Amino acid sequence: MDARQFVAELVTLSQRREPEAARHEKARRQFVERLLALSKPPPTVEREKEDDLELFRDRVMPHVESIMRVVVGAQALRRRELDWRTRAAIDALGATSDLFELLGLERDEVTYTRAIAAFLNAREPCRYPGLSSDCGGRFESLLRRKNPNLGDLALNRAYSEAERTLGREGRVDIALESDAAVVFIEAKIGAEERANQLDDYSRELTPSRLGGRQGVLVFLTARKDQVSQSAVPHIHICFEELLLAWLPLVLGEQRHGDLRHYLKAIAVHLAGVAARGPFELWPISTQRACLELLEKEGLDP
Amino acid sequence: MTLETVSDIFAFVCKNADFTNSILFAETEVPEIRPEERDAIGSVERHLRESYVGLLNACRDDMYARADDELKATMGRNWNRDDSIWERGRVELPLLIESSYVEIAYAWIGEEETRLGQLSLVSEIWVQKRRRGALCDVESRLVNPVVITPDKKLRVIADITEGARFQELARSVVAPLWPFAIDVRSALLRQGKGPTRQGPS
Repeated sequence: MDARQFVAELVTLSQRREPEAARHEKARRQFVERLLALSKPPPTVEREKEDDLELFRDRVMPHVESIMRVVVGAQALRRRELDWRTRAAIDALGATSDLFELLGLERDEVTYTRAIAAFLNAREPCRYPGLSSDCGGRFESLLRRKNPNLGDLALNRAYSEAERTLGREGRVDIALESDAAVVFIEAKIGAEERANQLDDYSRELTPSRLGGRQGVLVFLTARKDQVSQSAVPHIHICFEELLLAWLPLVLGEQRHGDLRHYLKAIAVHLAGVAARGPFELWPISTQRACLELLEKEGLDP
Repeated sequence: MTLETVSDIFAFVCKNADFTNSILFAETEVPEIRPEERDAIGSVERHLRESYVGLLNACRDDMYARADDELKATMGRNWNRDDSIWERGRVELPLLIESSYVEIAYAWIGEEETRLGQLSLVSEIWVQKRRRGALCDVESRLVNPVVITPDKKLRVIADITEGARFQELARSVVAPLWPFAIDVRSALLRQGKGPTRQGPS
């Protein structure tokens, strides 16, 4: 029954006085019967449900292995059609062990951000000479794709620090400083953004504090849909994008083992595009997620 | 009709991890499967949802029946609707504000490292890292099948097998854990933290 009609009839009935109501007894009875009919489930539902279960029992359950063979074969073909760089990226993820899970750190935000700070620190004491410049350059390219108006940030020559205290404004996860820019990165893996968190940090990026350098605020999240409610200018990136930006640095046999382990953790635990062991042993759904990401977004150049 | 036992179909879905994750619950369309297979798969969605939610509801009912008045009130304030249970795949009992809870959820538990394994029912007591002192007494008294995980959770696992009654499955994951949940709660209360309106975030 149309809702508008339902309401109209209800109003009409409530307005009728007793003598008139007798006149409309038939209409009233019909109305009540329609209400009763509405309150009952459709008579065929149970029967249809029974039939549907049989369909599944007949067509799927006995044939699940052959169905899976077709799907697995399709994944293998998709992988073969990728270019060599992308295949090498999958190999790199597959050949790397998942240290974060072993250590129980697979969702530990502090560990993830400290690692980023280490990989981005291109000044003394620099743990990864050469690699840090590359990581910084690629990180800057990622930011510029999000905001083409950014000037040169010189992040390939930046000093980086994890968990920097900003006076009364709080403690930002990563602070990057170069001759050209100051970049604050606030990362979120499981938690939600604290009220006014980005606003607080942005006060430390005012021109008077930057000495002529650019100030950039970055909101880095595990979930793509976790956007900040803050109105202050900032760039939102997600760990999946960082993965695609840095994966090209670990292609080839045993290159940059620490970064490989880190990217494996991101791929497995934050992006859901890899699993333990080589690609062939990943669950089909993970294989598909990985292929879809690489086919759609592609590795950074 | 309210489901009360694990059907052959629900058991099949729990056992066939790759099929379930990559086809049945695929987030995007799977072009490789045939139309008649797609129809057959689509036809059991309601049954699976009723099974999935029904079993977790049985777990929550079991916890509720064991809870004292204060915990009952806490649970009542955190009573998820079926839609939320379906989306989150879990029910929980907040023991104390932001510091501990009992959670019963579905998880893929497997023997082989690289395989997803069997969809199982897992009940866990989680305690905030800085309050794990409350677990110290409990650890020494753990009895089978309660185990402590590397990330410091007390855990019980049950296989979801055809014909098993939801109530019995629920009891099998709640009963062994329950005395420890009460002990953990008492220890946390001694640390001076009160009950909560909130569930785990």
